[in-house]
Amino acid sequence: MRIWGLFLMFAGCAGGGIQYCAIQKKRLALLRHTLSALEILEGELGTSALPMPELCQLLQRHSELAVRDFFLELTQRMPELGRRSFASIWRQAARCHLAGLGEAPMEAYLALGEKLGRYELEQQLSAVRQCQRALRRSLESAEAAYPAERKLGMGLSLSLGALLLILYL
Amino acid sequence: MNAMETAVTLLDKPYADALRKLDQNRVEEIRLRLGKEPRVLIQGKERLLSDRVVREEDLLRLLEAASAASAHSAAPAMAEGYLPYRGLRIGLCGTGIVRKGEFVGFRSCSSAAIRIPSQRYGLCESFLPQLLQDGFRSTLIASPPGGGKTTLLRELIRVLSGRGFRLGVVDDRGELGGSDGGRIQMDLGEHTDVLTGLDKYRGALMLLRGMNPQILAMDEVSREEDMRAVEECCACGVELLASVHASGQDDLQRRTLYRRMLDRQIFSWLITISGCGDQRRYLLTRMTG
Repeated sequence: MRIWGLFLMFAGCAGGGIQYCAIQKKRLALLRHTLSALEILEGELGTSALPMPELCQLLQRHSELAVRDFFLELTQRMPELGRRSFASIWRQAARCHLAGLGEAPMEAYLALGEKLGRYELEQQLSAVRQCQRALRRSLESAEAAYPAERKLGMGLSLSLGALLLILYL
Repeated sequence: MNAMETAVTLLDKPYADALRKLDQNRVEEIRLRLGKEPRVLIQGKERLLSDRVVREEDLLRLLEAASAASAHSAAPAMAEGYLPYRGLRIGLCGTGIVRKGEFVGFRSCSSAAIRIPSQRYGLCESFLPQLLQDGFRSTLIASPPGGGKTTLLRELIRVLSGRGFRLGVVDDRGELGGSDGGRIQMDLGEHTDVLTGLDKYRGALMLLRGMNPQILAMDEVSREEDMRAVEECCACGVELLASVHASGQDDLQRRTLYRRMLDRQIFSWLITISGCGDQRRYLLTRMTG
């Protein structure tokens, strides 16, 4: 029974490490998917100046995971325009679905919502590019830090598990 | 949702509440001017809607809702001076931005006028027998801006359709039919086909080719391209029903574009509208070249 308990304790620590790595990996994926969506957004805005409801539907079809949910919510909430601003709808959907982006990218993403649809095309495109730059910076630093963070996360959790084993054996 | 309800969804709560308290059938326009109290146009006179002055945020939100948060794709419509929104027509004023000679949007918006389309039955009873004495002949409706041309045109379309004429309507702004997502909200009669979203020239040609109309109707012929549509149709054996900004035949003579129309004797009848609100009068006269 004691051995079984110790095993569970060690497995819990290891699981914590795996979970930490998974969160980091998920954040990387979210940043990549958001960047892809922004690329489509920039392209469609720049070439065909699609109206926002159609653009959101298109992005919903071409995005993955949380980013798809974000654009789905945006599409569904479009009829609220008039009672609410587009920026507030964007903010609500982003906080609900893209919270995993991290603080700085989220700030840039929310700032984009303030400009989209409201200003002339060139200003909107420059806001999209600015947001892309912020997200790309975050992605690059997160990708660079990921191997070390993974090692650290796994190392710490396994060490903790081993320490507990030694203490209780 | 009727036109007034649609307009209410564009306004901030205090204005929406104030609007609901009014006799909604009489409101012709809602006018919002930055830093001033909002007003409504009833019977040709502006009346106070609310004590709360219009803020920049109110105008921006209106613009955003009317353009479906797509100022970039609404720019061509805005360049015409208005935004069509679910059958409403929203006129805008402000500081325009022009790039490479083209209007691309407003830097700031200073005022907006939301026009509420209305359906008024029985407007043409007084002159209808005379208008139809030799069957229907091409007819032009003339009045100054805000005179009720579109409302009369809408009623004439409905009445003619009710008399069995097959009508094709080029509703480029979606205002005649009160088009909302492709659904026609106004009563334009049983024998009426409505084409929305295309300019008058292309729309008229499409209707001629595809829908075999006996009468082609279009609102506000005001540009060279609209004139081309009129000239094209009159040579195709269909009768025309159209409206123009003018107070009468003298005004028409003063504009080169309309003078050409008079010289070619395209229209047989002219209906001029005078007065405002319930006091509007309709005068039917034979057109002279």
